[in-house]
Amino acid sequence: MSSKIRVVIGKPGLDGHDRGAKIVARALRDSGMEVIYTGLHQTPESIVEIALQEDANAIGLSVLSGAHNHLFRKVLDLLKMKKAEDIVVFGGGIIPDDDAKALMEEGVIGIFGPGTPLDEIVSFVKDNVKVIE
Amino acid sequence: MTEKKTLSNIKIPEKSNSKMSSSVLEQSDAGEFPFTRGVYPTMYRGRKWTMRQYSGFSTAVETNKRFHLLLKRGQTGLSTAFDLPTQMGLDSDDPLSEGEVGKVGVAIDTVEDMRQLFEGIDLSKISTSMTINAPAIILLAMYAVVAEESGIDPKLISGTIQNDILKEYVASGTYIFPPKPSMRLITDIFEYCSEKYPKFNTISISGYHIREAGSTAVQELAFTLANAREYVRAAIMKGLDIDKFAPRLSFFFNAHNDFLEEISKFRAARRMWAKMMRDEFHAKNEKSMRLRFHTQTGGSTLTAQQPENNIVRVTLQALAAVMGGTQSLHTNSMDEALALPTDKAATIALRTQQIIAEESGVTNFIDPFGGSYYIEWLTDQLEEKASDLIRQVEEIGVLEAINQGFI
Repeated sequence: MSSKIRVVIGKPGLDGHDRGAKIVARALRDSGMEVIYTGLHQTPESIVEIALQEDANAIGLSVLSGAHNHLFRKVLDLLKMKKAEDIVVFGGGIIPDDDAKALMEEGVIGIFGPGTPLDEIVSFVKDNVKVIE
Repeated sequence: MTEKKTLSNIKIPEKSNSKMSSSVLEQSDAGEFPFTRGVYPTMYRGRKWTMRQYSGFSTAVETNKRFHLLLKRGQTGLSTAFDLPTQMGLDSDDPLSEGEVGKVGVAIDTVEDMRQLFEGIDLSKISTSMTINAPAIILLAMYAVVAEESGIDPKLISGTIQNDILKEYVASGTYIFPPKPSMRLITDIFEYCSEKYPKFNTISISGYHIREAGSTAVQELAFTLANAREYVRAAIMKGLDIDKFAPRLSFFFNAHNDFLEEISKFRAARRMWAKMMRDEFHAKNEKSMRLRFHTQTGGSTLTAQQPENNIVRVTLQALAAVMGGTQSLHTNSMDEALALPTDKAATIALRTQQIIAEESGVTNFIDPFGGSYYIEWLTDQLEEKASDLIRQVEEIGVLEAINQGFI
């Protein structure tokens, strides 16, 4: 098995804003990771399924529609249900500080708002996502 | 001397000189073909632009309260933000709507919701823009029912539906149906409204979202006009008379950071559209050649850091839209990079427009930048570069260009 970090970048919900997701996907890819981008309008179920089938180490969620509380939690719950909590979840979008704090307490490992330098996201993923051989 | 470029990468000449653009001398007046200086002869001396802040959240009742508040503060038109389930044609209780109901806009499931949304607002006096695309035909029908029930003559109903599906495939992603049946729905609306609601804008052909998704000013211009041409062709193929439907086509552009380039962009857009309509589609009615547009300041230019600075950005962008001759304007709130606008931020955004309109004096003279060597040169440059890009799109075909990801 390859020792590269494998990340699924997911767009859950009805939100069509994919510029951020695509830019982050490209930055992670360019830093040597294997990145799978789900495309728009995915459900939490489909994203978790993709992560399982792709043997991903992490899921990065992008939500700019305000539905983050519901969607991030649903993904965490599904991972728990599938006993796949080794897959870590991070994300970004328009997520107010209070919501970000609450989501982090519930298990999301990092939330990156607008203006975050790409290097910061790349280093964060490298430092916090482990490849399980 | 270091080389200078516009935000869209156009190389700027080192020195100003009178031979930069022949357009400086060849200019027609505002209200005359090709309308570079403005679509109306009197522009803001006759009537100011419509101050139209995009608004909507939660339920119809809550949004109706906000509409009343905005009108009380001096806003002159309404602009409805629908939530994503409504934009995707889903009911609020659909499993796919979970977590999304009432978030980015108001949830409208039924005509009863639409009645509540406009409760107490005289739809014969206030024009309403609705940002709705894939299910536009349904929401327009609901709106028309509400207006007609309150006894308003359908011929007086004015407003706009966005109804621009091509840019949804390109940039904003709220599509339901494939391109061909979508084009059919859109041209059906052109046909029906030209008879039944002659004051309603049947489409708002949008470059805004394309720019927000990362395009340059040249690409914004080119892709918007290429999409516009595709709608016109589809309508003509259906057998519609150009001068019957074209006067109700409207546009929607972004006002980004490069102040002088943006002014030039709006001027170039008018000239390109007028020429396309007259020379290519043989429109006879001048109304078909007038590019009327809404502008919104550029959301992606706003920063989460030091958000107060966004007030200054928005002011400059709004001023560019006004100098560019916009027909209506939304100014973004300073806190948009963080969350839905607070009441205070939304008020500052509207006051920004009112200060430009009432205090700055810029509305007293039409197209005050017209005749400037640089602006005329840049208008020519944008027209030339965007026309080149349109030709490249034409070689592939618009739908195929979208399909391939060229647009």
